[in-house]
Amino acid sequence: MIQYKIYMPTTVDKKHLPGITFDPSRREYDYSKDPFIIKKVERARASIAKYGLPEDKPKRGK
Amino acid sequence: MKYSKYPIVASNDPYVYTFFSEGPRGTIKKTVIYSQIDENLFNLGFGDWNEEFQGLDDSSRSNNGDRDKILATVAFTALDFTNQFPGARIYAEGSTSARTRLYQMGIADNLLEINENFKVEGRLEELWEPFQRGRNYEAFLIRRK
Repeated sequence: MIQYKIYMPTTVDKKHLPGITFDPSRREYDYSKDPFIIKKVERARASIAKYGLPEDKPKRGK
Repeated sequence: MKYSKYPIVASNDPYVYTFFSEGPRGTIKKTVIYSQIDENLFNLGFGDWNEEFQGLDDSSRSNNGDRDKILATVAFTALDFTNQFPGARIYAEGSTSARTRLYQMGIADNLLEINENFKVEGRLEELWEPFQRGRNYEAFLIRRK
């Protein structure tokens, strides 16, 4: 299986919206290694490679 | 958003948001993850925390009777995420057509509010177009206006 690199975060210091609590100590799990996430990213990459993004392709009716 | 939403916890990892669905089936931990796949392009991953195998999963339907509230909460994470990364484009595609349809219903139900902040496009039969209600899209691309 191809292992895609998933880029993970750089520092973000902006404030979150009201209703969102920021917990700087919380990182209980490395989601970048989660098989579900890897599969989702693989699927997205394959779809984008096959069908492109809006800016790559003619839009409907054009 | 016209639906209420759950309180969200953003972790030190700015691409991850967590909240808890409450309903007749108990409390279910939900996680939204934005994975960067290209410059300014992020995949939206959304699933339940599965205690059995200690990982994320979107294969089960939690049936907690709060679909609209969950979708409004996920949409709110997109608002926060694009506040952090204003140039970000968010790609969303369900793991099954039923999941993609769920995303579509969430967007359609909140389209007026979503359109205030976001430009949403849908892919249908290989072509992209501005999101319209009543079309069965295969994927979505969302960006801030």
